[in-house]
Amino acid sequence: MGLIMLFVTSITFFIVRLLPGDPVFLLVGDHPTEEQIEKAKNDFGLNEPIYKQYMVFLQKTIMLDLGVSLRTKQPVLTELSKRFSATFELVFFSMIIALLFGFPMGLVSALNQNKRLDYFFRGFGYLGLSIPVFWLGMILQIIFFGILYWLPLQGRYSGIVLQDSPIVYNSGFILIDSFFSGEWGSFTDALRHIILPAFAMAFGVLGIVFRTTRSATIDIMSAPFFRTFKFYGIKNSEIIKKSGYKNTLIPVSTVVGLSFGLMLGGTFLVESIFDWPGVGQFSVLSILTRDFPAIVGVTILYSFVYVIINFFIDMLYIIVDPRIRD
Amino acid sequence: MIKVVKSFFSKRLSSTASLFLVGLFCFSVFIPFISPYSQDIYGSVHFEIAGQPPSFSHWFGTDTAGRDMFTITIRAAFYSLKIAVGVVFFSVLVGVPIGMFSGVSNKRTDEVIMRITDGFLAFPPMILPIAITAILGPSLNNVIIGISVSWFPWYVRIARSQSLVISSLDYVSISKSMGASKYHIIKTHVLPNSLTPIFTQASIDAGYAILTAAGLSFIGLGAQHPEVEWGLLVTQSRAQFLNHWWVVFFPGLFMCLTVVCFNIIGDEFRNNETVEK
Repeated sequence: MGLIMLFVTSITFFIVRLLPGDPVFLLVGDHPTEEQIEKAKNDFGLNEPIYKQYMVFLQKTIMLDLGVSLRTKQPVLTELSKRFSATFELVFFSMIIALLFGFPMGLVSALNQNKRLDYFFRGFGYLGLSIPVFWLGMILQIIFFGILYWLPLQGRYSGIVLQDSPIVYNSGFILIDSFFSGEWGSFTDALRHIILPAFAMAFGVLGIVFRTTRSATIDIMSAPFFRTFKFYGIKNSEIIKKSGYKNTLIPVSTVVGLSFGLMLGGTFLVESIFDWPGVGQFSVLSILTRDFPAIVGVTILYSFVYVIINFFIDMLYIIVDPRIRD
Repeated sequence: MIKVVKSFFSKRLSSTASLFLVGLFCFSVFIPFISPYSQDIYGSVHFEIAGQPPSFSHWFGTDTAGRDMFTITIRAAFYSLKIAVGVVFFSVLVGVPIGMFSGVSNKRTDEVIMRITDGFLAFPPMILPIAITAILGPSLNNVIIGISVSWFPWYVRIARSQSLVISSLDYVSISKSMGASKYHIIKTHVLPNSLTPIFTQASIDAGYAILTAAGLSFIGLGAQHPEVEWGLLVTQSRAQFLNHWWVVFFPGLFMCLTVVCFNIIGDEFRNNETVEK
């Protein structure tokens, strides 16, 4: 894991330094004078030889020093950690939705292979893979806010509700905090706010989870143990329920790990549509203002999170599959 | 009923999909010559007809600058398909030779190449394209470069696994023992046998390239104003989209259809591949 992180940091560094776009011009803005360029170069150590810059960059990243955001003049790490819980809440909630729907859909679809329900679910899965996240988000906004007025348009909570029933903030995850402080008003409010963005994010991953579950289940249904059970006269659905589903957990958890990457990428789009105060929205604003330390910081943060999540998924294999334990 | 759907899903679906893509491409090439609103493609504005709902004269309505949505939505297909082809082309061009070389090389070279590839794959998709286009500056060509850089590792992996499998076959070992060079083995044995998996991956990736590029355009990193691209069209009308559903709906719909078609074609390739095995 450490090695991969080192690789990620190095690749980020070399992409930033070796690509033709000169970082100095991102630092000083449009139409700089000679002195400004020189000063920026000295300030950010760009006059040093490349290997020295690389060492400094590595050192700083290990010390979690990601530089200072040019837009907000705050350390990038503070900016990111302030917003991280919002993003994390959204991503996890979406993943739960995707699993909650995708996994059973896959099992049902495999049990009813080539029946009407299967075709319907497969079409649904195709749609999930092909629908642009941001478009789905906007269409959901049009339907559920513009036409039906059921759900709020954007944001993470309404200020009024939060004033009426203040929750004891401790972790930054509004859903969990309000749940445990027993403030149902805030909890339902946060839930109403998270549903649309989470569903927009979940839809694509739902398709992936569905397809993986379905094909894994179909593979298992021709395995020797499955056929033995079948000869005893046990129904397909019984076998799946009792033991068959366990065999799909490994491919599904692999795909879930990879899908976290997809979702982290989706946060840029979904958060900026739903005005979700997370890392994705922050980085979109940074990109528009060409705030280059912030972009590098987000790249490194997201890649690290992705690597760590997949590390935990690898650990999960051991729990899921007793054969790997030995 | 089920049978109809079934046959539709097996063969007719993939041919419909390819027909749709080819038709869309031809239409997008010729639309500047047949549409009465062809100057809209180059960014002309008619504020007097801005924000009209779909009607007979404007099939998909008009956007906030009074441009005919039908004309620019169709024209946008040209740029999106260009991105798809460009990304796949560059990824294959870079990834496949590296992967094949890695597959037939000695263990240490192979190890080094694969570790570097893993490093690229450790980035969540979308992050690397964003970082690269943010640094290179927003434009359509930089989007192609950005997405290709993050996707060529997949082709390295596919090409490598193919060349490992094929170079362990008997006839290749014999060819090796008769003194054939690495280049010869790659050219005559490995490459012709790896085309199917590469095509499969390419057709699926083409769809994802369109989605990713549209996402980049949406946050302002992709196509720039006079160019028309689906993601850009959606983002340009963001201010009014709650009242003017058509400016968001149609570009997205076409994007979705195109990606569905690429996915269907990719699945068809994959099915053929498994049948072959």
